[in-house]
Amino acid sequence: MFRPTPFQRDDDRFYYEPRALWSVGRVNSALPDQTAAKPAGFLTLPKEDFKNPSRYPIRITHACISPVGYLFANWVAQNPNKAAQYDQAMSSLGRMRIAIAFPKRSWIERVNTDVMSFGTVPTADLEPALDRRSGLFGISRWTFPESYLLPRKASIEIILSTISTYRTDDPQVDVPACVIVHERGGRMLGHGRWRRPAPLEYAPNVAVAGAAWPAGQTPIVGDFFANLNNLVANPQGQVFPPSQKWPSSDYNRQLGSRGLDYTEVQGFGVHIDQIDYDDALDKSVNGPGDIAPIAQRIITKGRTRDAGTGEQWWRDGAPLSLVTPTMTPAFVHKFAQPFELGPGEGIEVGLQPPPPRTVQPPDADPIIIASSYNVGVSFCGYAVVQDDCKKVYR
Amino acid sequence: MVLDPNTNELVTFLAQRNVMDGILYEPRLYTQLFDFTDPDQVRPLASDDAVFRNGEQYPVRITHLVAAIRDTGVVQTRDPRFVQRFGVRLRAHDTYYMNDEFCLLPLFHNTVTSAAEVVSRSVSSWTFAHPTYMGARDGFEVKLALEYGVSAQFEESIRVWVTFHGVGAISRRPKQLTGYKDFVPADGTAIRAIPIEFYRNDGTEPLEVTGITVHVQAADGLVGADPSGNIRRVKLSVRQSGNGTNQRWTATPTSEPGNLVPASLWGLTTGRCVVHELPENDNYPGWLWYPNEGLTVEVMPNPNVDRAVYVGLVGHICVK
Repeated sequence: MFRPTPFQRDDDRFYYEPRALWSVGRVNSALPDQTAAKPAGFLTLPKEDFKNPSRYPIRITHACISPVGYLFANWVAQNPNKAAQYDQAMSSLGRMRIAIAFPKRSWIERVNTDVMSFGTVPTADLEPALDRRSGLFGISRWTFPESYLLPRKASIEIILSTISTYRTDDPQVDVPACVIVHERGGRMLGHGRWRRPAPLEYAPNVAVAGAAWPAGQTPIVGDFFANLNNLVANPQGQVFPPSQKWPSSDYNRQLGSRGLDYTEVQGFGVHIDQIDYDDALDKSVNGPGDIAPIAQRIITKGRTRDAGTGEQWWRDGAPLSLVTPTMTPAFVHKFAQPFELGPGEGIEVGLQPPPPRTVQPPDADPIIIASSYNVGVSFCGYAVVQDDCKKVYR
Repeated sequence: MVLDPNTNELVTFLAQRNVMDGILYEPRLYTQLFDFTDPDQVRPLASDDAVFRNGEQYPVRITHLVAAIRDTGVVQTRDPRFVQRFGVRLRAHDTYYMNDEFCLLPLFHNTVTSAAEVVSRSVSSWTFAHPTYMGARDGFEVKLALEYGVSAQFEESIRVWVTFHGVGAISRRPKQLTGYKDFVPADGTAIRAIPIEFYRNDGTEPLEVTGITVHVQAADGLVGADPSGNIRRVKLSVRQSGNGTNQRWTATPTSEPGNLVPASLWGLTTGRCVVHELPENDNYPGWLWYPNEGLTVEVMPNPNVDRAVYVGLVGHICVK
């Protein structure tokens, strides 16, 4: 297991708060070139999304690249007549290319790099050894690279969104989810404060043309089987309904700190019980392969209440798979050397879709089909905060 | 001193080093099955007093918690995903871990153990935190049984491989001790042993045994079926014969003959179980149990979940 560095109690100067910079976009090889120098469909993600907006430097340790909003994980049916569907599953991530530039236009590679060619680290849930089911444990997790110091009476809030429904018959069975925050210390050396399992609400199937992924820029239209709603709000228009919030009173009641002045938070985990959902979807939709984890279909927000910087750990709306680099359905790259983004500095990210495919229908002329793909990119790490107030906690 | 490898001088030199000093570490697994298949079963269930307790005269360091659903061979109750619907808490000295409420088992899973899809279905692999020493002419006694017997109607036999990995304590050369047992329908769920000859250290130097791998091959005779095996079908127990404590590495309730532990729970490095690495304190991972120390494991299923789940605590005994 990757362990966070224990907090050095004689270090009065800094504490470390988790951060993730992220964006979601849809690449489409049918779109005209942005410039003559770039390949068809090349999409530059908004620079503002990857800019350090705070007054503290952010140290980046991991990059996550995740398909977003898919019903199915892969294709097992090899049918040339269905080539139009080829890029309509999570597993087409391997046909993507990416370009990343760090501050001062320092490009990570001279050419747009194959996504999978970045070194990856093991992060996967286990496959369940059952046909078409999404995973064995349904767990997503982030073990922080540095422990986060949480004062007594402060609390952490990790909230999950509604599930967006699909045009096809979404089973809409209960999908309970729960969140746990791992802390270090105490008689048993550790403790977990958790938000008890509660079913995620479903968002209605209301298609809104041109609506954006929450806090994103590009409409997400989902995979071949169904249109993923661009809006992921419940009938009351709530993306984060009250039933899924985590009250600070509940957090504090669990007394992880046991009366200490502060506790070391080592990470958090999110469990999504997809068993009934997978079983129901398997019966209702004749899909092509394994059902995708819901972690890439719901969005999150995270922050500290009553302590810390008061900033969001990431902009609201990040897909869960992009902010859990320790265990996630995303592709995760761990940087050999963490790098820092100063206040106002940013990263440029460009995405190149798979090339169009030529399909030969029976008894007809070949046709060219454009490729399109929903993908999210995040950079995870922590803000280094100079703490002038820590003495107050002691 | 330069020894001539072509004479007995080297053999004698190495044999003299069969006795070593220092701290001896041996793996330990404490496991209990919490069976909720009876709908009238009391919920939650607490572990037997003697299971999760150090019954030996040396300290034990517990480093991991593991859990997996029991494979009954019956479609209705064998689904491994239902480990998601059990909550667990550990109680010691009226302190609870991780919470005084029952946290779901996947929330404990903090170690990535997924091997390739076709591998993890049939293999459990565990690289020990500390190697255990095996003197020359020592052996391992391996007992094993099936969770459910080989079906005479559809299967012919199932071969189970158990392998110990290590290096020579002096030569530093890799060594591997491999044995197997073929289960046939007549074996049923009876306990069988792999002949100790497979695991005898016939060399001239002690071995540092660094890990164990269990592999269950698919049943012969299943034409057209998935040729990957099912690691969840086997349970086993190990004891070192010769040096060491000579105690079984596993502890289970007395109602479990042979102290057998499901092979899936041996997969701390790669396997198919929930693996929770305990937090560390001052660079020492996990909890230290002095003799007769221990804790109580309590398990609570979601309503209407009629499955049986194994929960185990894993570590190593430290013998000076």
